[in-house]
Amino acid sequence: MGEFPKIHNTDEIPGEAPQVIENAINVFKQLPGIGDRTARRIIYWLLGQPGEKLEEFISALEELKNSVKICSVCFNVSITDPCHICANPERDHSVICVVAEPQDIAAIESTRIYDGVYHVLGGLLDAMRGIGPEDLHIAELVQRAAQPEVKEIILALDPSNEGETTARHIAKLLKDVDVKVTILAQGISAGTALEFADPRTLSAALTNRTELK
Amino acid sequence: MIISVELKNFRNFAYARAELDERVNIVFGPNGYGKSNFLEALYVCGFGRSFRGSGQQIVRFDADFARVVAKNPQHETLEAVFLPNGAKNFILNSKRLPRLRDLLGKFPTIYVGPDEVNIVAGSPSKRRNFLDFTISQYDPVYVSELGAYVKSVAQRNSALRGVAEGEIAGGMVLIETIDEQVAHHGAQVLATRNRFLRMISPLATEIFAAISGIERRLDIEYLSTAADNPDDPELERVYFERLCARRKSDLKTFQTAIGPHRDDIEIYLGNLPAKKFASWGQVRMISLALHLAAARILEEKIGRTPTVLFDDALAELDPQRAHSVLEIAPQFGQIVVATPHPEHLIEDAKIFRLAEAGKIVEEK
Repeated sequence: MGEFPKIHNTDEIPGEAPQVIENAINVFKQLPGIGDRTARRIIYWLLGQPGEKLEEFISALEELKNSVKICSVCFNVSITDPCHICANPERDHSVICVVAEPQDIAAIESTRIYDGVYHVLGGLLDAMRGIGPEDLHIAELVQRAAQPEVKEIILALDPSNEGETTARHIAKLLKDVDVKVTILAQGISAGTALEFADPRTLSAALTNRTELK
Repeated sequence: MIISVELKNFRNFAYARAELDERVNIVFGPNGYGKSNFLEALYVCGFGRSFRGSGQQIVRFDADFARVVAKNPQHETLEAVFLPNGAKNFILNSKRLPRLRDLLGKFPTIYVGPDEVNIVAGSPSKRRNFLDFTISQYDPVYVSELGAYVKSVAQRNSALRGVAEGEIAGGMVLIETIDEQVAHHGAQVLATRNRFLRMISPLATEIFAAISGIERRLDIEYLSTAADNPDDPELERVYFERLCARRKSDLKTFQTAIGPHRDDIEIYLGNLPAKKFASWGQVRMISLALHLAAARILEEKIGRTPTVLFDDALAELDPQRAHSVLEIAPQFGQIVVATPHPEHLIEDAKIFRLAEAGKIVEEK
């Protein structure tokens, strides 16, 4: 069978927007949580904006690209290396809080009760997506944990299956290292009534109950 | 228990409504008129899914949605909505249930269909389903442990493949970690199933004696692929060690060959394996006894009367036996029977007749 001739001798796909617009949509679709429809909305919104608005976006992205670095100690995103947390002598460098992603640091920082330092793994172990120990900053964490001034490692990972695997894995690697390894407690979220808590959370909260007296 | 049910665009029912008797309901009519569909509508209230697997054809041909509305004596109204694309929604007392498992135990249900009535001799997966579907309705921790177990095994299988094909760097250590995780959750699943069997055996023995007239003990043994003794206090450790020992051969198949997903139960009637030694009729009565015992456990655990669905399950018994099953069954739950021959079943039951395909009429 021979090749069928092209009906439209053009790169434009009938019924779709011009290729430059489709390209931009495809780029935005790569963003987390953005599907085809949202990407389309964003692009058409941008197209309706004055030129300086677009410049604002472009320069913000450019600035990101040019000035953001990855901290060589904790792998947080920062504009300095080491990052402002690692470089801060006021912080307690004997406690390391381990998180999956840099944005998790913001969540912990917002509590304002933690004054230790961090370690960003860059994800969670997930064999189904082919993510193994060497794809994450686990070896670097083990190295840091072995330093004599480090007393405690706090694992602040999602209470998901992947989070559990990652926590178990780190705990195993640190078995012979003289450091305390703790994990965030799972419990009832603030502001909810006990009767509405799901059984899994409630059973975890019961198991990890704290002494009052 | 379901007091009333309303079907809209559900399979071959354009619209149907039935007020159910709290003891025995008999749905009869020729094959193809929708007896099983009616039972299926009651089933989805219990489990949020069909016993037929894929939810695609639940919506009546050409309709935009299917809906089942059921009420229970606890003043709860459940609305189950199915869309043609397979999406579904469950609304309890006007509040959407965020997860399917929030539905479990609200309308406790025991289903006995053609496969279930042959549970003694049928495939092991049917016996595992019997355990999982029953326990899940009263034990939410089991639901999450089973979920975590299934996910961990999937992770392990992916890790096995990843390591064998050299795609996951540092994978061997990862497998060991996942093995710990699999053993941790698997041991919980195994122990809970074992406790359930301990509870159900004496009950099933009594019920079996009542429906068959045979005074022989029913014993159920849990056959674990992960540990020789499911009562081992060191279960998790034993399980983990066996998993480690399997690793080499599992690396060739990318499959986890041991664990609750491969386990089975053996049912003994008077110390002999029922699968081999019980008669055809006994095998069926053992199954019915097991399901009624499961209904009793549900009632005791959650304090709600379960709905027991007999989907053509009594048809194979001789009339006298079927009659005695129905005499006893109402003690264990609200009974709904689908059968092509209602004549000789039971006197004081509510009878629903399928007058034509998708049309249900209350007879008395």
